[in-house]
Amino acid sequence: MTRTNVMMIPAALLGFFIPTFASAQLGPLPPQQALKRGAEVFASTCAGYCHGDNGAVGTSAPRLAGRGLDPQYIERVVMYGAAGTLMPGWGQKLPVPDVSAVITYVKSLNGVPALSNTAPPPSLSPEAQRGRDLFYDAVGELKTCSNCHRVNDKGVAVVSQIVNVPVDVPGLSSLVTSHVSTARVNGETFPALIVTQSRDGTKLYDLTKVPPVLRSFPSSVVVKTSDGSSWRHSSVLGTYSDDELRSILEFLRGVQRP
Amino acid sequence: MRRRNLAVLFLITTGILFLLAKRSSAQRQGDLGPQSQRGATGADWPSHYGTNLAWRYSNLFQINTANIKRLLPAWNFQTGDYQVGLQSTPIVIDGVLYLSAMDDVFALDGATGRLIWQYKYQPVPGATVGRNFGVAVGDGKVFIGTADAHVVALDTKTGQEVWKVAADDWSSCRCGIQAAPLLVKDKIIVGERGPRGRISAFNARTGQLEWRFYTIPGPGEKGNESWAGDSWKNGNGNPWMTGSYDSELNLVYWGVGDSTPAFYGAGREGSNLYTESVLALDAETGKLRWYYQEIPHDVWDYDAGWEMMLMDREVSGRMRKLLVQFAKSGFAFVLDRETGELVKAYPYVDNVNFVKGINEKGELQGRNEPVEDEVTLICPGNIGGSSWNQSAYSPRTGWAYVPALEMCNDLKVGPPAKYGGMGGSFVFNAPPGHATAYSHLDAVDPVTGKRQWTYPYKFELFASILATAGDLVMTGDPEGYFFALDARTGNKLWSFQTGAGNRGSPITYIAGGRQYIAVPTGWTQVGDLTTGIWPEAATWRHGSTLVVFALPEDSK
Repeated sequence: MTRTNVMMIPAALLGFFIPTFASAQLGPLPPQQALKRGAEVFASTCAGYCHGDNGAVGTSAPRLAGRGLDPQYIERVVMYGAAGTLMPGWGQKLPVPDVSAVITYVKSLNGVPALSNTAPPPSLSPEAQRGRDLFYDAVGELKTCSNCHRVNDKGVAVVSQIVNVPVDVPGLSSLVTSHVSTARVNGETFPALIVTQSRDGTKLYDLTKVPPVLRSFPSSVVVKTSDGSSWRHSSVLGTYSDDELRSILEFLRGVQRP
Repeated sequence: MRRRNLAVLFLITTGILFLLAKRSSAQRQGDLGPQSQRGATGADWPSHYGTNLAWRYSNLFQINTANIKRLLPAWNFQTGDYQVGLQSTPIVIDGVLYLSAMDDVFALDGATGRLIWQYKYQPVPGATVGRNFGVAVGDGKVFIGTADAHVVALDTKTGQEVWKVAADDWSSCRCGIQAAPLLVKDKIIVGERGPRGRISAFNARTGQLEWRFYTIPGPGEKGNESWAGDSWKNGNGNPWMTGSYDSELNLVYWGVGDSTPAFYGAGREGSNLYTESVLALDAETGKLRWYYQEIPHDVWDYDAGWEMMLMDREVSGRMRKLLVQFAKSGFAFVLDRETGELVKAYPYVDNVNFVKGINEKGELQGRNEPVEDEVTLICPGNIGGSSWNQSAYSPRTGWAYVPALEMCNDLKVGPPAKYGGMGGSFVFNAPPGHATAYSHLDAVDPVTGKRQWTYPYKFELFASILATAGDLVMTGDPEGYFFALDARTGNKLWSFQTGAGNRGSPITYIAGGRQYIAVPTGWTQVGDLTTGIWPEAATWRHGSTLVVFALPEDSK
């Protein structure tokens, strides 16, 4: 083979150096699509033996429609399930767009309009843009909100989507995190987000350190959980300055504007 | 009194018999002393490179130079995933073989190939699974790193998830893991791709992060000044292969890849630490003990990521604790692994022109840097003097067995906006004075670099080498032949057509008292690129099959 009859290979074609990614992003859907998809997912997954058609009649589980359920409560229970009941956490069981869609749907049954917090945001202010970069900071050393929060189709969905943005930095630090429990397993005690707890075993996020660890315990292991924890949201904000946190809040507000 | 004497005599006699039995058993296994015990595998193949000293050498010699001709396939296992071939190294513990393919994990009966369990990893939305180099096994768990930057621990018995952690947010940083994790005591250590490469240790029991080392120092950290402006932010420095570990020094050694853009240095002036470096990290804390940068300010896409063999050898009349790396640049680097001091650097390929040489201080002499928008012939090319496929080291011969590639690049470089993310494009070419590229598997004295014998081959040798106490050196070629050479002479003793190109890392182990040799087969896209220089490459087959050999049952 001589040098003249071979083509130059653009380096970018070399898949062996550069990982290949799926071309389609699977993220939350726009509001009306989300409602439609949510109704479908609800019909196939939640209605039937449990919440009844359109959530109107509880069969083996509570009625969901028209009960004025708190949006955050809906998110939490759909994502993580209800401890001590048959309601599983769907956060890890359904694809992200479906979980998000079904949450939107159940909220709509309780009078919460389907707002867009997933569509491309309106133009962000310079401060909000700075906040966005800090939220997803890929260069920083684990000081990123996106290790636990997924917003606009980016981030790790450890917790449910952010709905109420605190008004200020003190509000962000003193956020009520009643969904964090205390888990006791084999002499270990740690703050936990329960994902599922059933006769098949327990799945939970261990929040001891960043990043959180999804730990699974078979039914043969006794996992005791109790409500509340000494864990505080402020413990994971320490690497951000107040100024940076203000920008992050501005970003979240910018994203949430309908 | 008399009874007590008898009891003492009995204990002494038993003790002596026990020691004798132990010694003869050790001799049967080809033992050459304590260091060989640490560096060699026995019945199991417990870690990625055999042991954490990375010799890819087994003490087994049931299969040896005298009976290799009788070797036959015992069983095959097809992973069903042919996208990237089978590039992972199996692990074997107590007769169970653990194999990853993409981000699937299989547990197989090592004697029969029967599937015990299978785990299928589900990537996060938008991500796909990718090439995976293998798992680590220990503490009752199988550990795997994934292309979307997760580390997962599975129960060895059931394949069920025990814990799973997003080491990083893939959707933001496009981080990812393909190297096999390294198990060091109670920690599982992984190298991860990212805007800044990172090496992280997780608690093997809980998955909690114990420490993290960024391969590109951040602002205010020593070494950050080796990057112009903000270029450190996307410096890369991918620690994309597995490290080694010395339990006596309690040091983890990890090789770091190149900088971004790989071929174009303008904008990232400086030595670009810790790209192209060997790092020695404290296993407990992840703190940097020392580093050795092989290629300051790389513009040729070399890597210092390859395996690092840890061996104790005499140098100038003094026993030294050494680290030997046959690096992508075509140079072997021999370092003192206690201090990071350079003992020797020598080229192990015949065609090197990116430098005139490397002096005793490790300084690159006469750098031949590609000129913007012009074609420059660079040797070795960016597949390297060797690719990531690993060498082996036999303590019986004292030689390393190294797959060397003689291939160059016609390299044309420029800004990424014009030339893409690597800042260049290239064509594989023959070394000057040769009609085409070629390769050779050499037996080399790892300290002096003196070649003992050479096995020439007309194409590339892209599979790892396995050496055993049966004085066998084994590897496979892209045409599909898996073959065995005499470790002392290089004579070919046996070969077998496996059906597809070999790009993996063969291993050996015992199951049910019988020695097996497991060979991952299936060619790979990077190999397909070489059709530009070898038209025959179009006929090298893809696949993803583990082909496992043993002697016939009656010859145990």
